[in-house]
Amino acid sequence: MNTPVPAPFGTRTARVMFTALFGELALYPTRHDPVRQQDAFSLFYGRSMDLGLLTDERLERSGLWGMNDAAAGEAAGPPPRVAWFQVGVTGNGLAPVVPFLAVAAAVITRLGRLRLDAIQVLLPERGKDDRSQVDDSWFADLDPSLRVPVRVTLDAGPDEGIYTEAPAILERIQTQDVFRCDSLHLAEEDHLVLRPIPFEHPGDVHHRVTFTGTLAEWSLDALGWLAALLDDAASRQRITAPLLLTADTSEGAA
Amino acid sequence: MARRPGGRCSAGSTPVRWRRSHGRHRAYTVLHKYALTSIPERTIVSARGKSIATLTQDCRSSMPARGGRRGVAAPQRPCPHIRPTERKSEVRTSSSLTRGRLLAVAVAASAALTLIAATPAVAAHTKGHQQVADTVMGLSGFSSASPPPARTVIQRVSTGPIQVSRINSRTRTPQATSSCTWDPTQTYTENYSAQNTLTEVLVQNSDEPSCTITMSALSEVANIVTPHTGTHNIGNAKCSNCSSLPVYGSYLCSAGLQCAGKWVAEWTVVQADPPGWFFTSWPAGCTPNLLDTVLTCTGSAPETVPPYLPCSPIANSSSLHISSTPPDAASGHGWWLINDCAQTKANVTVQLQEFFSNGVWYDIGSPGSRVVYGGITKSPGTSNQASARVLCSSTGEAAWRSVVTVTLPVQPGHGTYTRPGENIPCSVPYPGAAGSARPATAP
Repeated sequence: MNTPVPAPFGTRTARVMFTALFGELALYPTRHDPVRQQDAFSLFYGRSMDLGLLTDERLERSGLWGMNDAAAGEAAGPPPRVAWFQVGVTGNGLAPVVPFLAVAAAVITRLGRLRLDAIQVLLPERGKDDRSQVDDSWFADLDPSLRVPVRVTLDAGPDEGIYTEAPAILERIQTQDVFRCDSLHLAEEDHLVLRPIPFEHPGDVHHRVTFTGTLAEWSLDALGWLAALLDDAASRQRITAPLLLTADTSEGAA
Repeated sequence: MARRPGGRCSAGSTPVRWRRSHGRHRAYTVLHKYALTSIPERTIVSARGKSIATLTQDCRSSMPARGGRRGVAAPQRPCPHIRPTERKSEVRTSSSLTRGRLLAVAVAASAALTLIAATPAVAAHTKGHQQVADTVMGLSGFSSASPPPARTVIQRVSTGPIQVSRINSRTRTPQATSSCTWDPTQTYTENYSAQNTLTEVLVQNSDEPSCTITMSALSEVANIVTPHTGTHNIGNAKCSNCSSLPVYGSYLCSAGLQCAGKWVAEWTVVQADPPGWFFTSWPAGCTPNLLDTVLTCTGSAPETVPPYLPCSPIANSSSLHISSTPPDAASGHGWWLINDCAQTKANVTVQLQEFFSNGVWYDIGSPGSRVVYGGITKSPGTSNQASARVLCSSTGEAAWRSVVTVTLPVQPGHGTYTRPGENIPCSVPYPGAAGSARPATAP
């Protein structure tokens, strides 16, 4: 009789979306009610539920993601990682990174005062035909003085196709004005690498490309929009591997 | 049903009940005693830890006394107070009896509330009595939208068959025989809050010993056990604890958790035979006098009023996932929602399971277990969660799931939830026969 081996069950495969915020977070005082005490996990879960974004079979809720984990107030670095959020995307198609970061922003605003220096966003694997409508109208009338220089690194892990597809990705993202890309960098020293790298295994290889330019504003909203833009562009260029987006700004962070 | 004359709650003698039948006086007394005792394992303490041990308090209610049915003045009743031991009642003969034949002297016992736990004598007293306790329980739904639940328990004490015979005075042989059974009943209506916490107890005493006569012609015997008329309220919501308990009638204990515990209703029935009749057999709980013409029967029915009804805590969990922090590990968090429970803290356990090619889920790793506060409608913070984590042996894809159980420490309540499996790039080898197999279910 053969020894049983680990096996999948059904077709439900988790696609992890993750973000980590780096900078400084001054937490507000919390109430000492042990029952109602909130933290990043419970706030993210609750806000996602309130907005109809949470999938929770136990409570018969259907949304865009299931809650994995979250934490805030941790300090490691430099730069210090002050909060992180992790969900399992429950639907097909490109990951809902815009609402994901919007909820993260809402949670952080509730928890304390954040000075965001840099961000990691793990975009889960995508299908070759996944598309999204990335509309820049939300940022169209922003005060030009809010525009900040940014550096954005895409890490495709073992998928070296990111090198060959990067110019096409650059060309695709030139059709909007939220992120004005000035240049594409392939040199290792130009990449932005923040640690810890989520889900990294010893010996993992990284294939990275970096875009520099200006962003309409330095906010989680704009960064979520940028992540969605690059996710869509990568999909159109047949990049299916998970992408770790890392971004920072060389000017004063918000 | 006619009301008897009432009396003020004051010290006095124990009532003697009289009635005239067929030109003869009959007398009997049905006496009820109530006892409330704490139950150690129940910990009669409020959810906020407030002690409810104080049990003695003066009766503040006007307590109508039982009076004679036909104009016989009712003696005043003693105000029942809690006493650590039973209070002996005096034997008294009504002056009205002097006009007729005295057939019986009623012996009344106390109306004292006795703490059974501290008074083993009561338990011993009840032991050996023929006793039938019928319990009818009805529980309403547990949804918070439902009206507060209630529980109704009917306790019945049966003295068992008592045989009465008319005996030929010369031959001393029975000429006619009948039998009778007294079975006073008591109804407990226990009301609970939406969180299933005891709010009040209404004790309604039906002190009407019914009697089934085996020979219908023996009407004299039937008259012996003519029922008492109904009950009357002697307690009310102003009684702030359970110290004042009735001898007869209804009692409302509105002190919430203080009302929880073991209640014991005791009945003593004193029965006198008509002339020429004798008791010829009786159950163990009865004691005849020397002439076998007066029989005293006792019985009791205990009822345990639970401080909490069962509730339905909701177990829930995060989606099973790989922890972002190296090394790779399958991870799951569990919590619970209070729902209709009064208690806010419970033990939550999370057990991870992995699926194998033989179609079986196996427990993998140690369960995570914590005593944590429950959430109201959503997940509580991580400080109120239990977590389980299993290091991955490889990144091969396998299905994992978590089983979360929640158990309340005092209030009866248990919940479990098995979250649908997730295929994640994490696996550990087959645990072998040592692993506890779980049947596979649909994801």
